Amino acid sequence: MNIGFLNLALFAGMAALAIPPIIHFLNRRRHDVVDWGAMQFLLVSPAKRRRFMIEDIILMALRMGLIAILVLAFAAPYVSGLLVAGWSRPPRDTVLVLDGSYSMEQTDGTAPSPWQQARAWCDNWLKQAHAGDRVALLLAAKPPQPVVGELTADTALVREMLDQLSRPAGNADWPRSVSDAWNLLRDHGQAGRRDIIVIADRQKLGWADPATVTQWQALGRSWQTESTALTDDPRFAAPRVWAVTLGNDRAGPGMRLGPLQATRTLIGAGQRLRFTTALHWQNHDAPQVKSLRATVGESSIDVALPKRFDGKSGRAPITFDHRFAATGMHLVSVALEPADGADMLPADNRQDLAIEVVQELPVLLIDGDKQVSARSATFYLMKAFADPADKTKVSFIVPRVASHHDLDPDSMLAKAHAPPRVVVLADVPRLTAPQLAGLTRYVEDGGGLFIFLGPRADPAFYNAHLYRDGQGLLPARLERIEMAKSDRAVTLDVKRFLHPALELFREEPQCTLGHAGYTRWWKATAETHGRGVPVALFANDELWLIERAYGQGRVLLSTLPMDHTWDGHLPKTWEFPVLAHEIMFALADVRSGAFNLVPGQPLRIQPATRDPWATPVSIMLLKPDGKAATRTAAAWPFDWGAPGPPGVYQVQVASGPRWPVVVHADSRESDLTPATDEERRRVAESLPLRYLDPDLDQEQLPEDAGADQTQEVWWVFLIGVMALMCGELWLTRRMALARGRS
Amino acid sequence: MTTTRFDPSALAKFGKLSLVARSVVEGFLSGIHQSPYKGFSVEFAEHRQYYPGDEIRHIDWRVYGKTDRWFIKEYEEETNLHAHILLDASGSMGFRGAGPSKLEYAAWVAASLSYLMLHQHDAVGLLVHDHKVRTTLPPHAGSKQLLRILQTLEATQPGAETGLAPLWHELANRVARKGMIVILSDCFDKLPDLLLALRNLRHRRHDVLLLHVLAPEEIDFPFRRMTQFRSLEQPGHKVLLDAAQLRQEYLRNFQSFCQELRTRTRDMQIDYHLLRTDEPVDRALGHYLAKRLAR
Repeated sequence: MNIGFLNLALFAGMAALAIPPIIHFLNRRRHDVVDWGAMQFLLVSPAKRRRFMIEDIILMALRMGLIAILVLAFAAPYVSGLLVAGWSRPPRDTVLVLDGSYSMEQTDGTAPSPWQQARAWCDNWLKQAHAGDRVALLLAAKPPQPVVGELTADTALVREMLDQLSRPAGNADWPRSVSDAWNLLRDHGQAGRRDIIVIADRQKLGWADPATVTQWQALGRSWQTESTALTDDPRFAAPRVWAVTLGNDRAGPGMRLGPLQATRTLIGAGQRLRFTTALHWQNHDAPQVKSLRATVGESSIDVALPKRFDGKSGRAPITFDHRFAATGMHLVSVALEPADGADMLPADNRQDLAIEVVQELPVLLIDGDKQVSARSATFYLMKAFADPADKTKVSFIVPRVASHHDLDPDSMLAKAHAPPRVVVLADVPRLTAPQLAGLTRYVEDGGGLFIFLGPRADPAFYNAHLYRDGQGLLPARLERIEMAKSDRAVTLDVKRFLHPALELFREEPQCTLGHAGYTRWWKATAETHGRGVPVALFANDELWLIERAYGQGRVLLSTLPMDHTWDGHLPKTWEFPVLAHEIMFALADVRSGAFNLVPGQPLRIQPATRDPWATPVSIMLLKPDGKAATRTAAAWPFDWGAPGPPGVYQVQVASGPRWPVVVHADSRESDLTPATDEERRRVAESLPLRYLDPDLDQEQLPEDAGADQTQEVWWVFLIGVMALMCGELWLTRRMALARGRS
Repeated sequence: MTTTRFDPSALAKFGKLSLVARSVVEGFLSGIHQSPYKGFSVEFAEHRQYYPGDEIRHIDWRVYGKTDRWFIKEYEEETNLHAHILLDASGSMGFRGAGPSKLEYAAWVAASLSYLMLHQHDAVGLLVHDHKVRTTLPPHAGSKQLLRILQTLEATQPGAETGLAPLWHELANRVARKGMIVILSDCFDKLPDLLLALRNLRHRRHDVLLLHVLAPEEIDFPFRRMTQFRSLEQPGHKVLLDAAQLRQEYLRNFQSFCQELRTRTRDMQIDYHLLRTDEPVDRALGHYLAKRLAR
């Protein structure tokens, strides 16, 4: 701590220190003279004389001290440095934002992890909070989680909540977390001083990567705009943001599993499904693995370990198959156990995937013909799927065909009547308004819609009512029917099958889909604002398949018919039944999004049975940390909201069976590359933000590290003046009373 | 202290001191004592012309027969009461506060007592001293004795250091005939020695009257500032003190001294009386005489 004076010139006033001695000596010189006879009574004892002298000295010292302190007070004294922060400051509102990403658990086995350090740091900081300070605690996650979502002066409560925090999981959305913290301070802060303190590791990802820096800059500009526009409102003054970064500043050895993937997450009972993942390692000369285990529910699956690990860093693919016998929801997990000391971050050594196994997949085919026949557009699709009348034809897809004239959304698509998982519009010229409204609701609620066009499609109707300038169901605008030049049929470009469901064709060398030619096709345009994504192309770069998400569902548009129209050869290829199945499963798989979530995605609970539970009904969500939450559903589907950090959850409706829901973490979080000083500086300039030394005494935080570390303490000196004045008065009075008592 | 106390033109015979003494004694003529030898021996002194109002029985008819003029016979009366007035004229008696100096005040008292006692035809002597005897007037009755006493008092100036006890011892040894010893002093001396001398006087069967003359400043010590006290008895001896700081201690010492003096003299059956110089002499002496007559 440093002590200084703003007005050193006033130190000249120290000359006034000479006043009491001068007065004393002048008094001795300017004394009265008395010719006195009773001299013998003037003699006092040495003890008395000494006491008188000591009293005089004390009195003079008090007076000199009084003058000295008065001069010091006028010289505008200040203190700066470490101890100033805890001094006599007004109450402040602070939001602590704790990094909730799983990278916080990195450790070399000797030092505590950043997570442990961060909690200890917060706990220590809370202990030193002053009376009147209010604190809130947010967990920087994706999305941010309020641990103590309101500013409270009850720091004991905040510490208790801090103590009960679960292990970190998932990723941190730092810009949004800090923005939420500021919204909280702005809307509910009362103190003049408002701070945000973020406690994070030194990881670059999520903090200083280019995308995040852009978000930081946007947030900083937003604050700047707010504070500039609303200068008179102190609530909008730019906040003070402080960052404490903990942990190592260099990446250590690491191993992790890549995301567990399957060609689809919806499969028929008894079908085999292939799973893929990868073992990643970095900063290893010879990575060693203790075990690699895969499980489906309670059953183990044999998984072969990669035989070679080439290079200091690398990736080894892992593949395994499994045939699901029972219907329902299944949890597939892969867990890696590295050798001791081979991995600094154990949180990314497990991957999960929820798989739905069905006995049958109901599909509704709406034909553009008034009367369905062998010439109808749905004919070949029907042939590709199961035939209820033909028991020898095995397929999980159970089709139902109806003319578009017979499409009754209330009976065919309503939730109460076990709606199909996929609806196919096969060269339907147009729909009535009720049909269109019912179909839109169906897709919004999570249904899959496959639209393939043909000569009957009315582009005016499609564009006006289905595309609606990108706001409707249709993924692309229809232009016109194109004709191949010189009667050369246009073919599919298998290599540009980008949809995951078509991946198997792309990798199949004997695939004949690329030979299927058409002389005509619908030219469609996927406008950027239409949200349609081309997922398969013709060889002439025209669009074949365009997909878009709509509500909870998904729509796939084919610019080709699925029959012989326009000399199409597609139905004649041997892959056509497979293609039809893959497309149907891909669209039906939309609902698996309810079981495999990305962080922040709301959990939508929709009973898949024909007899859903009567509402209201209780829903329990068992979280990865073992804690359970219960809510009551008043209607289906029930929107739970974001369930929480990544991990495996279990959902149970009433007393029914539980099913798993997996919230997948962003595996990039495993990249422990620390941010460089330059990158950190860029973040600091974007907001602005100040980094704090975590080893600093927290009593000084955050004033000490801020611009305003200096505290004027003239008032302390004035208190000293008053105290000395009281002392002087007391002593003078005491002496006067002693002299006057006779 | 050295100012002239007399106006020769106005106070042709006895001066101011005589007037003070006369005015003080008016009304107290019954005296401070009653002589058991009253009218025992009368000696003719002189004749003087008769004035109306004189008692007829004092007319000398023999002279009238010879001269046909009336003369009054005057006598010099003898008494066996011998009073010694001891006046302390030491330096400390020269202290002058707001009123007269202690020595002046003591001189007034001495003159008054002399007047009174001589008026009662007692023999009065005077001894002025500091550390040694400066003037001695043996006891004598008669109107001229008063003049001598007054002249001596007029001429008395404060002297040097006090040495009361040895002198009083010497006096006790020298005065053979028992009588009255009137001491006018501030008694600023070592108290044990002083008391021993007083005891010696009492031992000689003298009737001792101690009139303790003090200035109010010495009793109340009204000083509050830094004050340099210069000794009146020892030239060059001075003390610079914070009077306010010292006051309590001084008063404690002084009152203790006075209290002990009063108590011990009472024990020795010495008539002690405190005289403050800010108190009019007549009142102070009147109080004392009234108290004495009442016994």
